[in-house]
Amino acid sequence: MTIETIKKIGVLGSGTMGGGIAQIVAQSGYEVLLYDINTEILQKAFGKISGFINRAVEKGKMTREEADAAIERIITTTHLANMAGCDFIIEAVPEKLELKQTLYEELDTITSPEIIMATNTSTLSVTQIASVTKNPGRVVGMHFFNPVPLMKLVEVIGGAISDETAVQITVEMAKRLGKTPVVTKDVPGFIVNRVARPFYLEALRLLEEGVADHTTIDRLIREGGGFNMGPFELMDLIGLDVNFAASVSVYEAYFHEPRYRPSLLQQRMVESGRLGRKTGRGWYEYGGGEK
Amino acid sequence: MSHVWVIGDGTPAYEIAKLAQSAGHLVFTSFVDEKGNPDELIYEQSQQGFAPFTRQPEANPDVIIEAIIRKSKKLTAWRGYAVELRKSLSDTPMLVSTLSASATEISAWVARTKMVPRQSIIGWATLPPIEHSSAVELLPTQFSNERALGLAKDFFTSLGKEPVIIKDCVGGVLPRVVASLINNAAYALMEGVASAADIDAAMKLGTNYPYGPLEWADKIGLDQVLGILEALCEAYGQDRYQPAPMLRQLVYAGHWGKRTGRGFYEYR
Ligand SMILES: NC(=O)c1ccc[n+]([C@@H]2O[C@H](COP(=O)([O-])OP(=O)(O)OC[C@H]3O[C@@H](n4cnc5c(N)ncnc54)[C@H](O)[C@@H]3O)[C@@H](O)[C@H]2O)c1
Repeated sequence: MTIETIKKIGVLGSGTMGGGIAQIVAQSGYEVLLYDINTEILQKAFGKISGFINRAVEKGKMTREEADAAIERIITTTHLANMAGCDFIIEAVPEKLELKQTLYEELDTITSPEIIMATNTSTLSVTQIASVTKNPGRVVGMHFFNPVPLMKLVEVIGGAISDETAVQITVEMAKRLGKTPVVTKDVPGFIVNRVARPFYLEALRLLEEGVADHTTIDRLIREGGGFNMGPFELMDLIGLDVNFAASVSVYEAYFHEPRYRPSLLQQRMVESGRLGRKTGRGWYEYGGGEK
Repeated sequence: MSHVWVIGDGTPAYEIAKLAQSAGHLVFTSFVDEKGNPDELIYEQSQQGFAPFTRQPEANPDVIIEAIIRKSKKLTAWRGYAVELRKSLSDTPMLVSTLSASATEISAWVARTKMVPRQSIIGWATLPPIEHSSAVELLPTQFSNERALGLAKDFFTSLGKEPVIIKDCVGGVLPRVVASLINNAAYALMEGVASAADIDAAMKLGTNYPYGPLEWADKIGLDQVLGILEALCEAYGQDRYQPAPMLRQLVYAGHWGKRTGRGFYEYR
């Protein structure tokens, strides 16, 4: 198995992440086999993807011919057995361990044993997903960021028993998809979701202590530190519930490491239903325009 | 133009002295050495920028800025200064760095030595590269008077930094958040999660940070980062802020970052 022999890539799950991944894979010149549970979902996803690609033409980022060719390279399917013809698999189905494990068990019998299967999981252990396959060395993590076409970063995760060559080929694949790969061990939160925790947690502690109000903290982080957004603005954008869940999950996964202790204040905010921009109010209030 | 004294031993002291000088102030610097002795120049870069250490200048300063990076050194240095300063500086605002102790704590030392009235003491906090930040945190204590606070604001405004007032604490907002990020990145590096370059790239590309935490540490000075974490440990308990052993090892080895040619990265 080498990177050059890869022509056709299977993408499992056509949601937020799978759709974005299918788009960049097709735009990078690969054939895409996009799989989901029913044709309705697939049709919707296909419509979205071709919409994004067509918009790129309007913005002058791509020629009409390139766009048409990219769209033509995407084939959808509801039959997992069709993955047999793929040379590389990227999985982006919902974040449930049993669901992913069942899928990998099936894929293990369908695909040829040397092709790489890469999971886009954010919080699960790549090693645990790989463990259900007969050849776990070929299972790696390939963690994209949302929105996939815009975010340059891909974390490539070598599980405890992943083959080094599988990791290296996945790194090369990420580059061919126009991304900047970084290699990380299979630890909870990988790099970004782990290292970023104190950005929120420390800001919440400062607020709890009354060192400054949230507006002042955001301002000091932006104007003093040069960050694009302050922690409270960013929590509102991400969704307080999603951000809180990430903190709890990292805290649990590291066996209650005190550095990751979640914030009670944030928990109360989540309980109150002020979840950020998506509910019109979080740390800040958002005008009628936003949902 | 005013007379500014900068007392310190790390990157923040150097940067603030340089900024004050380019803003047209007459700057006198006094750097403390490893043992906390004042009067001895250990800071290489000061030779390139402004006049190296001057003995206590004849004229009284209009403002004194302190940025000594470790609490132990700070205490010793302040004792050293006490004798000289108490003579004639009763009204001079004294801006003390809260990166290694809160302004209230420093006020307590100072009150004991009777060197200056604690009304003149105001905490200040920010992080290198100070040149790039447009806001500076000011941390008045319950004793600080309006006059000192006003002069502190004027001084930072003269450097083009907007002063933002917060409650006195150890660290301040930006230093606490960034030191915690750096510490967490140092643990990840120590545990072999990824290389320093990959950790930094991930944080810049994945979350849009202005610098990767490890390269930022090299700019701030690992000695200063450790100073912040140690002060936080003392104030809040050991668990959350326990410095990564790797960070300590680098500091012991003299790899303090950019200014020593090596920190998490090597520089030539
Ligand atoms: N949304 C993000 O910001 C983000 C970022 C990085 C990684 N991830 C990870 O990516 C994965 C997918 O997340 P998402 O946000 O795209 O979710 P999503 O809900 O938008 O999409 C999931 C898709 O999988 C399909 N699906 C459900 N059951 C399936 C099955 N048995 N087989 C195949 N497809 C099935 C759904 O129909 C849906 O289209 C998760 O592991 C998630 O943790 C998400």
